[in-house]
Amino acid sequence: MNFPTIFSVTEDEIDLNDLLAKITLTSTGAAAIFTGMVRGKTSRGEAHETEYLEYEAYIPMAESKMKQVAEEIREKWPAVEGIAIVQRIGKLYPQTPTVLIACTAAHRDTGVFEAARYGIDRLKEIVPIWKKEVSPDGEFWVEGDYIPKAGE
Amino acid sequence: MELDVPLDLTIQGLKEKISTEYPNLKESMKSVLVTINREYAFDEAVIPQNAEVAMFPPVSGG
Repeated sequence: MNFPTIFSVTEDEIDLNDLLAKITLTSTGAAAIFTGMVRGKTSRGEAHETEYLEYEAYIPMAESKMKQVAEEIREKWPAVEGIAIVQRIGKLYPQTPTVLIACTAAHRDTGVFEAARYGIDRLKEIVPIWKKEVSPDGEFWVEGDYIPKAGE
Repeated sequence: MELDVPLDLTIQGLKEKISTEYPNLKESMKSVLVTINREYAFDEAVIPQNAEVAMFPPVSGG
């Protein structure tokens, strides 16, 4: 079967409508879309404000790991039709979408919600992208806490 | 960064070499993730010739 898979790291604005159109087939009846954005005010944990986030990526590896995430999704949820995984990089300000994971399927009860959830969780584990948090009090590179295992 | 390394050097060996030649990076070598040709690699892995090796902190995309 030839289902569309889109994966990219880009400095451009994420165009949800365009991406959704590209992963919508004539057989598609459902799409689960996750998008993350820059949060200007954080209250969970240590409350703080964010001026902007600056993203960097090891682009060729990031795109190949996004492709791997898409393959893992297809293995776990064979009903998924189209997949889009897009990370925006550069300097991004509060309320701006930074990442998008969208999965489509014929129906909503096919695991399509879980597939999108898995996609964002996995991206945060194995795709080589980093963000620097810049706040009125200073700046620091955020480090994840996942250590990839052999074969990941 | 360019570094002359012996054949059959492992990731562990590379970390030790960098720690010795660049003492300011010694602390980072403990938590760094390493990739060979864009796949995650671990201490015992031998670095093939002309490989693309990257070292970076745990990822934080999204």
